[in-house]
Amino acid sequence: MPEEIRAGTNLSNILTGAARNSWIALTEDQSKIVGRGESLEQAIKEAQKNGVDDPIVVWAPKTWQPCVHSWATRVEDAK
Amino acid sequence: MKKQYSSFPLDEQNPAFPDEKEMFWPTLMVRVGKSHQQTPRFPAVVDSGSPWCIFKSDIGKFLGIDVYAGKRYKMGGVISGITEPIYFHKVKIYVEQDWVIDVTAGFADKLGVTGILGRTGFFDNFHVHFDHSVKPPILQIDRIQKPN
Repeated sequence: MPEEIRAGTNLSNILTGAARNSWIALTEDQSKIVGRGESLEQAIKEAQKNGVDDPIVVWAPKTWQPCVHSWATRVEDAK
Repeated sequence: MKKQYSSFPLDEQNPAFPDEKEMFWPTLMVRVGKSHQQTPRFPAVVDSGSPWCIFKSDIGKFLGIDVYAGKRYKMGGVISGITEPIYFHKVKIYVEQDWVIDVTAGFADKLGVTGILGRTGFFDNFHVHFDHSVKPPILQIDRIQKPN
């Protein structure tokens, strides 16, 4: 039997209009933004207020752009 | 375990690749843990170009780690001249819902993504295969069994 392939997540649409330089909290199925904050704790707290106890979190940079991830910083952040 | 890449926004299209309207990155859902504390789940990029596993400093601070008390090193990138400090601590990484690995990971303030799974700590624990012959591409990882 062929091995199951787990689905990736389409975060492109949901994060395009989201705040930048921020922590974003998402529902567990990653379909909706339920929290935002300058700190991780703020984003989680807002998610919990919105009824999501264990949100998915993601850092939204100032600009979504291709990068060599191993580069520790982006040029714009280093300025 | 096989998993499709996830898509992320692309703010400015590359004129050399006008059909690319979003970015596909090989990510795994992870938690980072220290003592009995764990972070929420977040997508971490599987990156063979990174020597180590690296997370944003906020991830370490959330766990109560005194990030800046860790062993300090400097990390540069593909564009020479710019380096950023990175601080190392021992943590556990919970990979998807399947595995837990003990890792000495770096924490950096200016990391542009939430987390990176790099060579030391991740690639020495998993065989990793990237399949770009399909769209979206597929990441395959298999745990390396090590003798005790």
